[in-house]
Amino acid sequence: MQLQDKRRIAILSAYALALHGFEALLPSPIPWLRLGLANIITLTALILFGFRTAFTITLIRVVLGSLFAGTFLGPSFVLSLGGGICGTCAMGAMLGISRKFFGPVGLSLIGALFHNGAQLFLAYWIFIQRIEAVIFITPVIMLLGTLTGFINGIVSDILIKNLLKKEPDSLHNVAQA
Amino acid sequence: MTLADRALFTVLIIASFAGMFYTREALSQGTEVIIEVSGKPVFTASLDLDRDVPIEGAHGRAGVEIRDGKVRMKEAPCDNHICMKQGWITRGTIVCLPNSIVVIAGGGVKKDVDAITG
Repeated sequence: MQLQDKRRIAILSAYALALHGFEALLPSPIPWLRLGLANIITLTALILFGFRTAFTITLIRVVLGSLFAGTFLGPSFVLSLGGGICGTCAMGAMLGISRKFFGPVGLSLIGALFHNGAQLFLAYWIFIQRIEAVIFITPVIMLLGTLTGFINGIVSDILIKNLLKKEPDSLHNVAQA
Repeated sequence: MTLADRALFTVLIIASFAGMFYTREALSQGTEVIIEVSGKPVFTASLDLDRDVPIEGAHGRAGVEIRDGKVRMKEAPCDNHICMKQGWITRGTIVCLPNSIVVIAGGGVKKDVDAITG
């Protein structure tokens, strides 16, 4: 890993952490609903710098974010980690299959879907163990995840286009790789 | 946004609405009766099975009657008998506050929050 990669990961992780902390401050009609703003950074990093960068950022964000919030190794940490890893891997796999088929919005939707899927599975497996409760809540979470994933995807799309426009030299090679 | 993005978004929205509709249909026929005393479930049965259930409450014996898919508080050892006046129900709850008895009908699924994720 080159020095430039490390610096990039550090800066992007800081952005992701800031968004992660910021969205916890936003008032929400449903306590467990999160916008997943940090996924904007994960997705942007994935498309511009590749899977390893995005995955590292996700791990750093989940671990440090839970340390700041005081939930490290707690139930919500397990769900957060599982969702983060699964979502990032799903987006990375989809991007690996085809760079043309899905744009940032589609990738974000896939990420949100797998993130929520992993969390529901973990919640059922470890905590709730009542299948009817999980089945009941799944479509609701899917709808919310699709809406937030859609918005995050649009923001990522704008961010990536602006970054490529402003810094075409330093980013162009990476994005094509 | 590519065409596939739009298609995926549409499919997910439709699927989640369909899922919500379907689960509500499938789970709303909750024909269970749960009787709780002081917050602890002491009796669970199907609404389809006609029977009288004696329940030992905080102030003595109460009687819950299940008949024709409905449930009522038949007798209760309290003064105001609010629970008995509520009559037959198929969904919802009958609460006998002095006796700490709660009869929950048509339940099955509680939308509890078990954890907040981050």
